Amino acid sequence: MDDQNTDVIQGTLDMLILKTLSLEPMHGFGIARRVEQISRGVFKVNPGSLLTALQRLERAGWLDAEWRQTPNARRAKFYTLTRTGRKQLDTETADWHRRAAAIARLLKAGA
Amino acid sequence: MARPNELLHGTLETLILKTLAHGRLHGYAIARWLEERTGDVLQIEDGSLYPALYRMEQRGWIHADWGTSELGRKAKFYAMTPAGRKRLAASTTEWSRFSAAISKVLLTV
Repeated sequence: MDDQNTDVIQGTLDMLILKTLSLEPMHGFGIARRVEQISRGVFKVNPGSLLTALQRLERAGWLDAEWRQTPNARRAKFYTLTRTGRKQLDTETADWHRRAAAIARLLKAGA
Repeated sequence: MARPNELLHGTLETLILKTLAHGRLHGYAIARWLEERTGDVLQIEDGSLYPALYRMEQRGWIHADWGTSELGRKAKFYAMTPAGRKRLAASTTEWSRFSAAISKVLLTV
């Protein structure tokens, strides 16, 4: 239970992937590392969930993917945020802030 | 695809505990209280609420017994146990950490 709480679950993972790719195109492993770094290890990104999420986001038209060479000369799929992906990120970010604020207010209120 | 009203895993349990900190309630009242308090920003679906209540009862965070609702119907009423109160304190801290981490990622430029 405690571990699951720091797992990034589906809706949130999608949003964090879109956000990470809004900074620059990246391959899957890079996305996971970046999310873990920025959150200072609060989030652990499960590789299986990441791949499923990337496929889902690509199908939705929010990401483009192409094979490229990584800096250490391996081939990897690089993901880029599309225009609709950027719109989706804006929507999800606004929703997140609204929900997080509502939850925070509720949890702070005296019993 | 992301469901806009999907709550973060574990958050619903925390919110239910917070609701029950005010006193004993039946399931329907818990959901309405949460929706009202968040100005309908959160929608609590029966399909998530009842499994969550079941899990929480199994874990000993809440205790359920049958009573009569305001409408005179038989309903299961839930109350927070001492273990539930401890859990609420811990998960409130977890939530702050979690939401701060997400905000941090979202604010990165």
